[in-house]
Amino acid sequence: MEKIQVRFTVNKEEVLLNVKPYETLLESLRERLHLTGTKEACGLGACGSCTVLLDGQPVRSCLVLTPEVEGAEITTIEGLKEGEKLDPVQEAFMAHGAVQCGFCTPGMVLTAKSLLNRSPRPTEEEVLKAMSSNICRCTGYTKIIEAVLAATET
Amino acid sequence: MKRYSLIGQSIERTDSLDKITGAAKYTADLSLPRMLYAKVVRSSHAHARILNIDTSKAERLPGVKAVVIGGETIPYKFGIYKRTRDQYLLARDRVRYLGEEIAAVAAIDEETAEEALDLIRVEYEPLPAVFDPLEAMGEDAPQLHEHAKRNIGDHAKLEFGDVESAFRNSDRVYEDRIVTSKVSHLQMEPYGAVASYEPSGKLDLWVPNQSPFTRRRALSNALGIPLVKIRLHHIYIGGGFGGRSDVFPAEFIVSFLSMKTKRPVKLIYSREETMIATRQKHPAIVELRLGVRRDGTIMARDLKMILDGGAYMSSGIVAVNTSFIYSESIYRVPNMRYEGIRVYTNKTTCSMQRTHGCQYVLAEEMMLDRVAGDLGLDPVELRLTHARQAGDALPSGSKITSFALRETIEKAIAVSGWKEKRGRLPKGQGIGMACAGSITGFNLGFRLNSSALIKFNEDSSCTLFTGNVDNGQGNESMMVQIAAEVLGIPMEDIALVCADTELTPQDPGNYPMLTAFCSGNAVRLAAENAKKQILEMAAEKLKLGSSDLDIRDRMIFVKRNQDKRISVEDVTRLAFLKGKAILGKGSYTPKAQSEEGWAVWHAGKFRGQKGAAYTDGTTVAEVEVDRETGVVKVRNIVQAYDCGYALNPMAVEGQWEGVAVEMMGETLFGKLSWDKHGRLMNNSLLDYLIPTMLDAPKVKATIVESIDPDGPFGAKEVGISGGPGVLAAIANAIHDATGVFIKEVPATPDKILAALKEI
Repeated sequence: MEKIQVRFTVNKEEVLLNVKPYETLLESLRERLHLTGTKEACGLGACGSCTVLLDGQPVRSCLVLTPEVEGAEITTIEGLKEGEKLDPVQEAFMAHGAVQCGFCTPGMVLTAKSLLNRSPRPTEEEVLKAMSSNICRCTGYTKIIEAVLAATET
Repeated sequence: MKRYSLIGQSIERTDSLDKITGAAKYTADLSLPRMLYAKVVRSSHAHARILNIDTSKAERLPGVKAVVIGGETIPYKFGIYKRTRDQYLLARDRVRYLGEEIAAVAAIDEETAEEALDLIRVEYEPLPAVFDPLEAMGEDAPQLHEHAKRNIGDHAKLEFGDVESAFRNSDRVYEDRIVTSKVSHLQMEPYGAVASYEPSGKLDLWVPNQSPFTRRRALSNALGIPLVKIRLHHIYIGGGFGGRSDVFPAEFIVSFLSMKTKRPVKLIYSREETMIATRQKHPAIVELRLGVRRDGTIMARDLKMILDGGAYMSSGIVAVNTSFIYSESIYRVPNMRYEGIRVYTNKTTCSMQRTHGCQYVLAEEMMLDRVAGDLGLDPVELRLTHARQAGDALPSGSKITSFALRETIEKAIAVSGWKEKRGRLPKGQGIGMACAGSITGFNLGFRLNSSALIKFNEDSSCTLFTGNVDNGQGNESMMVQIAAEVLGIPMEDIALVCADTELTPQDPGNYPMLTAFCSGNAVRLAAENAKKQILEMAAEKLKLGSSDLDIRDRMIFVKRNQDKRISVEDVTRLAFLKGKAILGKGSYTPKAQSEEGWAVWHAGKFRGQKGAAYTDGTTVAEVEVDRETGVVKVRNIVQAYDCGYALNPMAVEGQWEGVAVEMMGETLFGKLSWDKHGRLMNNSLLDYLIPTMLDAPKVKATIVESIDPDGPFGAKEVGISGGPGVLAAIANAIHDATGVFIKEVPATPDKILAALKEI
């Protein structure tokens, strides 16, 4: 099968891949680029664990075909911190006990990050709406919501 | 209350940084040189004989490196106890549920492996299947296992006092029958395993687990490899909830394929496979009778539970018996009868699932509200009157050491605003309560032991070795926190090696609710042992008694004269010089009935200390019921639970908040459904409903501390106790809002509407 060449940026680094037409962005990130921070939990786009930012917008990487991201800027969880400095959302999650098993965490953090980029002082209702498509089984969401609201203050 | 420098504080967990940056590696993230990818052939029948498996075409497919079927492997049956061994890890002559593993392939990539699956032909002779536990117990039902007449895998019968006489002397007898559903653990991480077999005969494994040591033992038996040649490595794990304490076909398959190919093999289940082919929670039929005096005193309880166990036993044997444990530990009921039956059916195997006994608690807590309403009693007072206390001797011979149930009731009532709300909420809203608890540990024989080792480097830093495993609860961080507190060094000075069967000493695992109590005590003892060595070495140097010294912030100082000090670094170096390197060790086994074994349950001679300590608490829930749609919205939940002592309050709250939402989902919408062929119909996250952020209520977790005499710093248990009462508190709130007691969970809108029509 003929492969498609795709050129895009991941975490500010340019990448050139030759992929099958039906390869998903999730697969490319995890298997080709070994960026395993983005997780697969449902394979259907229902849980948010595979969330990455595509040109700043949260997308389900399990539902995005890699050829679609030609020329785009992808941010994964690995790309969030600036050198050694953690992003305020990351700091807030840690400080508020919002990380338990950690499997939903990368998706949660990126979704929160994109919300705060769009709307720096969201109400709790706005946080719930923006993040309701990220599923967590461990925390019951209480401390995640606290963390996101705390991150808005920094 | 003694103040500690680290213990008792809400500190950031040690594993958070790896998880927040994406650096944490879970099983599916592993990539080893020359690694192969495995896929599994699964049964398309709920019950069938396997007549033939033709793998020849698959073996010839380019890129396929090995194929395995059950017949090639040792005929070892897995079971968590010797007498419950009933499962071949790869089906041999028979399959007992739709989705059961029959064969597997290892290929150079996933696509080739999937293509190979299509080339494997299985010939079945379908057998009649049975899906309902009551039908399965019928005389003519298809028999799943030779040893289990009428498909009864386990039958526990216990009686204390004179139950029938107590019922005869009661003023009122209440009866109810409640049905609960099959629920998925639904850990966010799908299941899978990676194995790497070396030519030297050494097998390395990475697999999500809740106890690496029991896993290793079972695999040693199944593969015929000695314990010393199997190593389960530490790996980050995305949730357990009681569904990952067994041995699964996945790790057996990858091990066998790796042994065959001499290459690493990775098998990661899809979400659908994880839902169909790992574990689920037992649905239960609960039949409860309470005999009560006019003043509300409960004289007798008769409890019968029928658990639908699925195709194999797994830890169902524990599930059958834990409801009894909880039934005797929360309220004082002088005459009790318990009958627990676990039935085999042709569906996915059921195991322990956070939380045990919630089915029974649901029935009893609703009945208490019914009793209170009937007799004109305050439901809070009714519970306070019967609440057990510290020092109580339980009918079956267990003793309660620390306990604070009454205090949790009072706290939950106060924090939730019960007095202002009960009977005064707007139409359609209600508030309800329930009490529940858990136990630390249960009979596991020698597996109850946990040990820990500490080795110091030539500065103030050390490595802590503990067999304890973390599924996300914060166990890793807890161990480091305990060691740092005792040793007087910062947490960042401690490197943690945990849950590695080659490097770390044995540990019970986290599924018996023993992490804080047992693993924590072992770490505490190891740290105290290391500290003793450090102080003795320092004392020799300073020419003082070691009891004059203490350690804080990497310095050993004289208590009476804080200016006189020597660094831990100086002492560790001195220790090396003198041939007495600082090596701490600690070993701890909690008291729990361990001599007689589980056989005792069957003989009805269920006597002795059931676990090291009991936990307890109260949940209050507020709901709003829409009478047009039947939709129930849980607005608030208050969790007031006694954990003994909160080593890390933020982590403790996180557990009670998490379990509240998990159980809320079970109460209102989570239900696995099967069709008439035994196919699991809702096997994905699109059609199996779990709570999202929009569904979750506000949860307020309130910590009550009874300071257990034996737990480390007084700590007992956290992960389970906050769970069983949640379903019941919601159910009682629904009753308060509508006058209706639900008969079934999940109480989906159609059920609520149907119940509302009847009143």
